[in-house]
Amino acid sequence: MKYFLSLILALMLSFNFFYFKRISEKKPRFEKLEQCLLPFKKIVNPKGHIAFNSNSNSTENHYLTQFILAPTVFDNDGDEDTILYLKDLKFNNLNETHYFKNKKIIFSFKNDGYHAFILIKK
Amino acid sequence: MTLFLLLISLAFSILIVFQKVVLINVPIRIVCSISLTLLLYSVAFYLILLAGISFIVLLNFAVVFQLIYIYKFLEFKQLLLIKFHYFNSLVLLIILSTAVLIYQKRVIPWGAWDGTFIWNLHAKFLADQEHWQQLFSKQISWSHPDYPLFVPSLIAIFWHSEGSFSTIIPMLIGLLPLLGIIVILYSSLNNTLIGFIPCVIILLDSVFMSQASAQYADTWLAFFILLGTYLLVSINQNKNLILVAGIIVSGAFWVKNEGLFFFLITTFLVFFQFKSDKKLILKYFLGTIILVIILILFKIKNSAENDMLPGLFNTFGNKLLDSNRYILIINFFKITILKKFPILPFLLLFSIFYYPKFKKLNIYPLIGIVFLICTYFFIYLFTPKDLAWHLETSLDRLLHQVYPTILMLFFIEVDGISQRQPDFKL
Repeated sequence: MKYFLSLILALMLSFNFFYFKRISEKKPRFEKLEQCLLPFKKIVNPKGHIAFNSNSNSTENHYLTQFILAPTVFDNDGDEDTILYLKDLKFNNLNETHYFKNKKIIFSFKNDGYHAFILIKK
Repeated sequence: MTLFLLLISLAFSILIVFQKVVLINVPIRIVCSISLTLLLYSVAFYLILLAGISFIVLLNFAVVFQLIYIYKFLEFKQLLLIKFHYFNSLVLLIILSTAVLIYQKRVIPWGAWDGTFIWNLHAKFLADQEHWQQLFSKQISWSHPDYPLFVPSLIAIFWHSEGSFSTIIPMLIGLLPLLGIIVILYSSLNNTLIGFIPCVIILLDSVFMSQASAQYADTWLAFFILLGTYLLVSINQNKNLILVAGIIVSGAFWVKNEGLFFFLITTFLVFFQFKSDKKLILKYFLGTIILVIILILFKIKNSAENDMLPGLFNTFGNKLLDSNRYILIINFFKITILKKFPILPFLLLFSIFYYPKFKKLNIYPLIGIVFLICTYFFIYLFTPKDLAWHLETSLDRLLHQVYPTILMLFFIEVDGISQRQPDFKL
């Protein structure tokens, strides 16, 4: 009986672990953003002062970017010299060109959901 | 390799703690050993971060030390003599499997809002030994950096050991308190059928299960409140359990700030209940001392200012005399209980009806829960935040924290009646 219980437990755990792996592959929107932002991990300095701007829902995108690129801290709409600009490709914003005025693009990465840039003030 | 070493070290610690914690109830003894070990690792990880020592080097030392301890002091023969009740174990296993399946259906990667932007975000900072202090930057004050580090540090320990931010780790860490709650609810009662009922109530409660699957720390706090209360209720089994109860009760404030109220109220009641036995009180305080020091250290060295404290007592007199605030809070309590915890009024009615039979009534834990809810009431009364918003976003989670304990206390009484009167039926 003792061995039978252990066997059930082992089977349950292995099945559950496999199932958890499958769950972790869900959440496509988040994954798209993560895919777009992860290359920036090598570019941004975790101790640097970086502002965050976006063409769409700025607060939610700021939180998500902060989560994906932690421990680098991003100041939402801050006035730091270095800026991470996130462009949501589903969202049209005709005024977005002003974000790029007097700024130089250091690095950018694009996928079918987002286009992100590191900008510095000229 | 490091993850493997961590798992071995955790297993060794659980084994050592298991031998030390003498509880008659084997499943709860296992749960208790695991929670004490996790508390120990969480606190140790925080101290390692503060001291700037390499976690991996210390882990190697810990495993060597544990091996020596097990070889020298662990009595395997005694451990092998421990007997499981096979039927109860099988039923418990089925309930736990069901809980895991329901959890898996509801859980999402990184959890719900607070799970992602508070607990998992904090864990991401802690996993980086070089830059973890950036968690306390003013720019991210929206993520409540003043919150205690139990859940984030556990996730961070595994991420740090694994070397990647796997989504499975927070999901598994979030599952543990749910399983712990079920084990305690089932095993704290002598009658298997009566033990089965609170577990089924929990599993069928979609509000409770959604909250438990959200990867919030509230379920961990619910677990600590439940385990702490169980240990204090079973103190007659073994007086030495008071030391363990002290650690678990103080562990509540290392999980969430609300845990501090539970700790203060319980400590006051322990002092009142055992005032004639100074040795017992001393042992309790001995149990709490480590985590009290850690909390003070955290609040002084790292923690940002709490968003509630500065304005909590502004316009104190006006708020105290404002009847509209009382009415709003009472209405919210009423609506939340009826909509999300409909079983609670039923338990209250049942208790009033069967009160004369409740001879075994454990009055102190019940007073503790009532005091805790009253404290939450007054926090709402003086909150500097918009009252309706504050109630809407947190009241259900506060009740979630005490819900399993209320269930356990109620069914302990029902179990007591069934033991005294074998023909008693629900």
